[in-house]
Amino acid sequence: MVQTSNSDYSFQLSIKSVECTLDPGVIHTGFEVLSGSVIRLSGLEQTTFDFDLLPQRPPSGTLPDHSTQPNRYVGLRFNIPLNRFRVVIRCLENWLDRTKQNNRFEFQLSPAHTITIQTNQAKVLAQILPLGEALLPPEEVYLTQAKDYVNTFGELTPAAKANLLLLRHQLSLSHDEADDLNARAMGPFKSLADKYQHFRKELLACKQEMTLDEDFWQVMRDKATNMSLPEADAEFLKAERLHTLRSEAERARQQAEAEVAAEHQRQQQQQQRLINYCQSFEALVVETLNPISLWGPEPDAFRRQILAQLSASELNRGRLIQGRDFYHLSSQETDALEKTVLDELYMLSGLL
Amino acid sequence: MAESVKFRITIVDPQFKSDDVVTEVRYLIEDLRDLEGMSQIRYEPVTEIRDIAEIRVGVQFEADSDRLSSILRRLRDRLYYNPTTTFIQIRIAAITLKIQTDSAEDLMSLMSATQSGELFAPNRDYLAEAETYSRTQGELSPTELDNLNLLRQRLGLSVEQAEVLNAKATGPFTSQAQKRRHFDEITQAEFSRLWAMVSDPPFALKDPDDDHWPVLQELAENLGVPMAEAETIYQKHQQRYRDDMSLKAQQVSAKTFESKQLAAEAKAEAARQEQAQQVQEQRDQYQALCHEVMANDLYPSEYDQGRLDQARRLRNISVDEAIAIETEVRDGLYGSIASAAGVDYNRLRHCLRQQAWEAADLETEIAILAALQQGQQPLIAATVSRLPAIDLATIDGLWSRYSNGKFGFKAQQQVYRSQQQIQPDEQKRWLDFLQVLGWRDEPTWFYRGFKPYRDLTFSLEAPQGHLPTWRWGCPSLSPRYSPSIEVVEVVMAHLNHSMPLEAAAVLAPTQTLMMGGLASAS
Repeated sequence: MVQTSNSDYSFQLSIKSVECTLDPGVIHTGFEVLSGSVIRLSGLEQTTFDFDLLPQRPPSGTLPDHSTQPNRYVGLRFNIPLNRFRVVIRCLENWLDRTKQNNRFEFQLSPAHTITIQTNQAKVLAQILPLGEALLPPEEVYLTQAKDYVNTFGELTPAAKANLLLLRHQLSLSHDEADDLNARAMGPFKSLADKYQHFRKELLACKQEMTLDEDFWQVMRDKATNMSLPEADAEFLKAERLHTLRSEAERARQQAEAEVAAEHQRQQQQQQRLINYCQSFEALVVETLNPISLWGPEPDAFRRQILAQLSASELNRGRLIQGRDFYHLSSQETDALEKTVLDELYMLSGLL
Repeated sequence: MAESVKFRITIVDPQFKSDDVVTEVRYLIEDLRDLEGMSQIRYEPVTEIRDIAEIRVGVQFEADSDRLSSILRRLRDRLYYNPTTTFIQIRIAAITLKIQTDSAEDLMSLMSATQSGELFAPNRDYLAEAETYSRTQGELSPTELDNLNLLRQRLGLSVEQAEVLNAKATGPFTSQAQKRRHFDEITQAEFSRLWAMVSDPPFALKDPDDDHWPVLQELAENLGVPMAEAETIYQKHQQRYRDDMSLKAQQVSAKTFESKQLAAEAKAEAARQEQAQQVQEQRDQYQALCHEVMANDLYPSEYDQGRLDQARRLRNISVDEAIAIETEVRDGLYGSIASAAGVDYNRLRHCLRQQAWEAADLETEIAILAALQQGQQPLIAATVSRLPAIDLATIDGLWSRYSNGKFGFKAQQQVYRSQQQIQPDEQKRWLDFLQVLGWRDEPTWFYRGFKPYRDLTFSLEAPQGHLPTWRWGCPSLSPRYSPSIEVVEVVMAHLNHSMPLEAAAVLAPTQTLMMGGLASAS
C-alpha cells in the first residue's frame, strides 16, 4: 500500500441528504453503500467516516429510547488525498447514478476554498471537475503523490510513473515540470539501487554486531526516512549487515577454534611421536636382546648393558639412529624416553 | 454566450470596526463600478446587526460570466494592497464556490481557471456530458460520440473545441482497448522490475499483493479500466511471476544440492589424494634413503641396512615393496639386471663396476649360456635367436654404462651397420667387421689376421665394440678367436630385431670413413 506521508494534502468532503420525503432507511443504506465504495478505492482503504445521524424525535412527553431506534445515517464526512479528487468524484457519480437521491456536496479543498453543489444527477456533479481541479495546487499535488510513491517503493516504479503521467494530464503540468518534480521527489539518489549502495556503505561503519545497537539504528532509520528508503528495505539491509557481521564473527571464532585445535593436534602428535618412539625402541630392544643375560643388580647397569648390546650390532645401531631421526627428537628427549622404556623393562625383567 | 454569475462579497475581518467595514464596503462597490460594463449593475447591500445597529458588511450582485475575470482581478488587487479578510461567494449554475481569505494568492488559481472557459456553459456542460460517458464505458463509443456531436451543435461549439474537451474527459488513452493494453504493459513492467530485483539480489523481497497491486489498482481506477479486467490482467502476470519464482527456487535448490554433492565428492577425493600423497611421500622418503645408502656401494653396509629396515617399519612399507624400491634404486644407480631367463647378473655388474673386463667377458658368456641353458656348449646359429631381448638389453646396458658407451652390443651393432653401408659383399663385410672391432688384425700375405682370445684387449683402450666378445659363439678360442660368418649374421639379425638401433645412433661419418679405409685395405 502506498504510504500517505502528508495529511495536509487532503480535502474534506461532506455529503448531506436533502431528501425530505424519502424513507430514512433508504437514505441510510445509500450512505452505507457509498462508504463501502469509497474504502474499496485504492489508497482510501483506511478512510474513516463521520456520519451525520437522523435526529431522534421521541413522541412528546416521552424520553428517547436509543435501544429500540437504530441510528440512521443522513450524511457523512471524510478526508481524501488531493490527488484522488477525480477518482472520488467518479465514485460519487456512480453512486448518484444508482441512488438518484438529492444531496448537498461540500468540498473543502483548502482552508480558503469551498465548493458546494446540490444535485441528484451525476452529470451535474461532474460539472465541478474543472473548477475543483483548477483550485488544486498542481505542483504540490503532483509532488506529494510522487513523494508518496518514492517513500513506498524507494523509487518511481512503472505503475507509479503511469499514475503520475495521468495526474500530470489532469493537472495540466508540462513534461519538463513533471520531470523536475519527479527529480525533487527522488532526491539526490537516482534509483533504489543507489540508495541501497549508499545505505550499505553507511552500515559498514558497524564493524561488530554489538555496535549496531538501537541508538545507531535509530540514526540509520532517520537516514532511511530522509533518503526515502522504505523501512522494509532498511530493515533488510540491517539484517544483511547483521548476517555479514555474524558470519565474520563466526568465521573468526571458527578460525580461533581451528588454531586451538591445530595446536592441540600438534601437541597430540608430539605426544604420539614420543609414544611411538618408545614403542619402536621397546620393540627394537625386545627383538634384538636376550634379557636373561642382562639381568643386573641395578637399573643403571641394566641400561648401560642394553645400550652397549644395541650399539655392538651395526644393524641395530642403524635402526636406533633411524628411529631417532624419524621422530625428529632431540638427544635429551630420546635419552629420557629410552631411560623410561629401559626402566620399565628392568622392572619387568625383575618380575620374570 | 455569457452565463449569469451571482456574487456575494462581505468584509469579515474581525479586526475591523463597524465604521471601517462600512467604509471598506463603499470602496469595494466603487472599485467594482469602475470596471468596464459594471457601472449599470445593481449592487444589493448585505447587512448585519452589529451593536444594535444594522450596518452594510457587503454587497451582492449578478454579472455576466465574461466579467468574472476582471472582477477577480480587481478583488485580487484589493487584497494585494489591503489584505482584509473577505468572504467571496460565487454561484455559477448549480455550483457555489466560497472563498474566505485575506491573501491575493488564493484568487490566482480561480483566475487561471476562468481563462479556459471550462467553468461556464457551454464548455462546462459539454465536458460534463463527455466525462459522464467516459466514466461509465471507459471510452467514447460511436453512439456517445454521435450524441456529443449533437450536443456540440446545440451548444454552438466548434469541432476543435469539442475534440479538446473530449480529450480532457478521456485522458491520454481514448479507447478501452488502449487503456487495457497500457495497463497490461505497465503490469508487465512492474513484475519485470520485481523479477529483476529477485534475480539480482540482494534486494528486499516484496510481496506483489501487498506493495504493487494497490498502485496498479489505482492505475486501473485512473484509467477507467474495469476492476475485474484489471484483476484478471494482474493475476495473469502474477501467475507467471510465481511460476518463474518457483522454477528459480527449484533451480537454486537443485544447484545447492549439486554443489553440496560436488563438495562432498571433492572432499572425499582430496582425502584420497592426501592419503595417496602421504603414502607416496613415505615411499619417496624411503627411496631417498635408499639412494643415500647405495650412493657409494651396490649393497648397503650393515648399519645402513639397519636404517633401511627401521625406516621401512616406521613408514609401513611392506618387505616386497621395500625390495622393489631398493632394486629400482640400485638399478638406477648401477644398471638394471633384469632377466627374462632368470639369470643373476649381479656378478657381471660387480665385475664391470670393478672394471674387470676380462672377468666380465667370461661372466657374460656364463650368463648367456645360462640364459639359453646351454651348459658349457658354445652356441650355434640356430640357438642364438632364443636369447631373450631383456637379457640382451641388460648385458648391453651394463657393458655400455661402465664403458661410457664404448662396449656393449649396441656399439657392435653400430659398427656392423656402418659396414653394411659401405660393404655389400657379405664375406668382406664379415672380415671388416671383425677387424674394426679389433678381433682380427690387418691381414698380410702370410697372416690372415685372426688372433687368439688371450690377445684381445681387455681395457678401455680397446676399439669401439671390442667387448664383450662372442666367445660363447666360438667353438674354440685358441689358436684363433673368430666368430663364424653365420654366427655374426645371426647374432646381428637377432640384435637388430631385439634392440633396433635408432637412426641417429649410427656412427659418425669420420668413424665410417675410417672403417671404409679398413674395408678397402682388407
